[in-house]
Amino acid sequence: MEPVVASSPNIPTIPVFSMLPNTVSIESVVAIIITIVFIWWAIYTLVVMYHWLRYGRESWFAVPLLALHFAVSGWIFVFATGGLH
Amino acid sequence: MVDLKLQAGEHILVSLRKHPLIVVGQLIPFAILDYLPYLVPKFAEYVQSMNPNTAIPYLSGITFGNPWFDFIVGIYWLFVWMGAFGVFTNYFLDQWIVTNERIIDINQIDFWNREISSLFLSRIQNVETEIDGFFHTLFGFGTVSVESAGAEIGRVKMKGLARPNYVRDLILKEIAKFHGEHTAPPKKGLF
Repeated sequence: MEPVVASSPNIPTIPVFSMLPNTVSIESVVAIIITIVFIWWAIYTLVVMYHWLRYGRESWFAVPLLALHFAVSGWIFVFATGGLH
Repeated sequence: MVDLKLQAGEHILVSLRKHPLIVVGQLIPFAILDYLPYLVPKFAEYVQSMNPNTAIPYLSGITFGNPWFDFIVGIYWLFVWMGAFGVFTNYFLDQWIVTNERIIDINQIDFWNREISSLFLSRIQNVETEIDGFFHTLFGFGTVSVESAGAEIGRVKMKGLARPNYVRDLILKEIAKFHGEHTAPPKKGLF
C-alpha cells in the first residue's frame, strides 16, 4: 500500500516535523482510529451497563436492551471494518 | 432500587415514566442523522452530473460498498447509535415513584448526574394537572405538579407524564387515606 505521508527532499524540514516518522502507512492510521473508537465504545458500554444493571435492574428490559446494544454495535463494527483488508 | 430505601410500612403504589412519545420525539433527530449517509452518494452523483465532461477525482468512490466510505459511515453510525442509546437510557432511568407515604422524584440528568428527592404526602398542599397542546390532548399526556406546604416549599413537577389525571387522583386518594389513618377519630358525646 502507498504511504500517505512521505518526506520530500523539496520540503524544508522543521524540527518538530523531523521528529515524526518518515512514512505513516494507511494501515497504521486505520488501526489507531479503530483502537481509539473501540476504547471509547468500551468505556461508554461499561458506563451504560453500570447504570442499567444498578438502577434499572429490576426491569426485565435491562438485559435484552444491553444485548441489543452489543448486537447493533457489533453489526456496525463488522460493517465498518468488513471491507478493510 | 439500590439507591432507594423504603421506610418500614412503606410500599410502592405506582412507578411512573414519561410518555413513550416523548422518547420517540427525542430519538427522531438520531433517525435523521442515521439516514444522512444515504444522501452523500446521491449528492456525489449530483455533483458529477453537473460536470459531465470532467471526471472529479474520488467522487466515484463515495458509495456504499467502497471500504473506505463504509468505514467512515460505520464509525459515524456507531457514535449516532451511542447517542441514541444514551437518550433512551436517560429516559428509562428517569422516573417518579408514588408510595403510600411519599412521592419520589428520580431525575437522571445524564450519566453520573442523578438526583433523588422525596415529597411526603403529609406535607402536600396542592396537586395540579396540566394538559396543554394538541399532541398532549390527543395522546393523553401532561404535567402533574405537586407542591408542599411549610417553611421550605418543595415541588415535584412530573412533565410529560402519561395519564396525568389518573396520577393526580391516585395522589389525592393516597393523601386522603394518609390523613384518615393519621387523624384521631372525632370524640362522641360532645353535645
